[in-house]
Amino acid sequence: MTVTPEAVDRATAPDVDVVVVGAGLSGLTAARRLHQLGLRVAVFEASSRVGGRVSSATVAGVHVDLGGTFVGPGQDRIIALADEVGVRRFPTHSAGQNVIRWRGQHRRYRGTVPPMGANLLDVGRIQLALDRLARTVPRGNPAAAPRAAELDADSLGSWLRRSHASTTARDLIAIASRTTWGCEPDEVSLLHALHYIHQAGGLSSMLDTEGGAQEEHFIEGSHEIALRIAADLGDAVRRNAPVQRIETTDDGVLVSAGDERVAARAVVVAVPPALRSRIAFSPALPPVNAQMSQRWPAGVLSKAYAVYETPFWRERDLSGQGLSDTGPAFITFDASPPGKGGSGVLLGFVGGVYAREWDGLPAEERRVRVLSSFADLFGPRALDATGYIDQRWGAESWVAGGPTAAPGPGVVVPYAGALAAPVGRVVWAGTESADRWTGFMDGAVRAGERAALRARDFVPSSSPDHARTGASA
Amino acid sequence: MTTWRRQYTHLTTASPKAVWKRWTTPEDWAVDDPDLRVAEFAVPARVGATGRVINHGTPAQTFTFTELQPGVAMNFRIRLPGAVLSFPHHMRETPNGLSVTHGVEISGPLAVVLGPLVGRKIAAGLPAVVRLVTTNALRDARSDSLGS
Repeated sequence: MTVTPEAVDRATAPDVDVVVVGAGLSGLTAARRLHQLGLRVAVFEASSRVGGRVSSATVAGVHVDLGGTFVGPGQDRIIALADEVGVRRFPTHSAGQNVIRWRGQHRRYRGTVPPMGANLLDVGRIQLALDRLARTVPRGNPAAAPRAAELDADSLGSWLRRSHASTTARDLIAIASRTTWGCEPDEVSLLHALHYIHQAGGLSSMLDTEGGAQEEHFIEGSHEIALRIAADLGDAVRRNAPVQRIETTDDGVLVSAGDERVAARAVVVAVPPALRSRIAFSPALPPVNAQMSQRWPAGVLSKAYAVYETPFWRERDLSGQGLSDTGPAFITFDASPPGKGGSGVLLGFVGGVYAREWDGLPAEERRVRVLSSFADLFGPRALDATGYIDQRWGAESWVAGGPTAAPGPGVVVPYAGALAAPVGRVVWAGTESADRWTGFMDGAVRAGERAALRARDFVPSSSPDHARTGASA
Repeated sequence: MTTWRRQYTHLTTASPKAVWKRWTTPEDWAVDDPDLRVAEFAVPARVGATGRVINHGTPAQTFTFTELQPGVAMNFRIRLPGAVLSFPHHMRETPNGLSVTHGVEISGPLAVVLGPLVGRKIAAGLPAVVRLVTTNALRDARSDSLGS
């Protein structure tokens, strides 16, 4: 290990107590909690905006969430944080019938279970088996599950085939896989899928609207939570400041972003696992950390919103929730603003195999195809949108995909431990490192809160700086 | 006579000319249809002409073009014991884009049996084929404009 005298000096008298790398929800939560503990923080964000995988836009006068959107029961950390900063919630619209386009035919149904005839029995059998198996995977420590290596060697897709799942059951699980991990079932480790399902409280909790993770939206939008936290932190948040290097010394760290170098007692790295390897660490991270970063890729899930003069589907007793086996928008929600008499908004997800093709299309073709999908589900009026926007998370260089990571078979047992375990004064955050609701906004907040407490331990309680309340360096 | 029928339609910004080229170029068929290994027919295609298709894992089958309206419609049929399998293709310009439809129809005495057995699998692949046809038509148009 080579440490310059300058680095030692600066680390001995740190500029701040803790540096946070990444101003997504997780990093901002960590910074906020540290600030609330009276510590001085500096936050470096590589892109020009804060929020990471939460973002927003205004389309035809209507606010839409381009990234993380929904919250539900059990996601108490993101809800508490939103309450703290005054961002309110409203129920996702679910009144009326849902619609499914399946095998070339349209059907309406109520509740969460689509009409699949005799196939429904098999869908139930597979869901039960997945939920039962998921409960054997300890939260936060999937490698400790019974037969962990065996489960990890399987993909979700190969397990479905081995379980003799019907084509319908496989296709429905594929929809869940695209929505949840942004990938096809063959691309994700079965152990990871099971761990994720267990952390989210089961498949129903993960996928349902009423009583599930899609139950509510934020009135001001999820991005507003990040914006308000960043505003509170003021100059402590540096945008357009990608961190290139983190040096660890005996009693501190030195974080370099462009021309700026900041000394601190600890650093919280709150970027997606695959992006950790973009930072040069000195001394180098243990091999398992570097290898994990290479093997923990983000999925591909894009979102598309169409705005209409009215939520016309409600006139026909439709909820706006739809499923399709054709794509590109394979699952839809009514994302209209709360209250009656306003605009209607349909949200469609394009993920996995659909996104790989659709993401590369010209903007106008993407719009036409999504509206065509919406019309397929809700009739020709869906073509008459007054506004449209889409967000391709795979095209975001400082996010590199979404909604979360999708590690492939054989990766979880050897590398999951590197997601959250600190390496000296380097403390990890980000939703992938959460021990509950990983992949969700709630997981991001939980991981940020955990990382803040770990980082605080590196700040000497005798430090005269400890009692300060100023956020900025 | 019983007819079993499924179709898939989507809108695209691709031009009718580019889509028509994909429909009538034998080399493009296997590129646009993941289930197809080989397609052979004489160009330009004409009504009454025959060709040959080989799907992955199945024997070669002879087909006959039954409709060719440039920029509008194309159809061909394969005779099976007790049924005729047809593949109607249509396109129509609309204010919202070019509407492209691929379908599968099974008619004849055994249609009621072959529909669920054979037609359903073919129908399940139609959305992917329409997406690939239109995506590749867009790509062809971009290549042509870059080369011109």
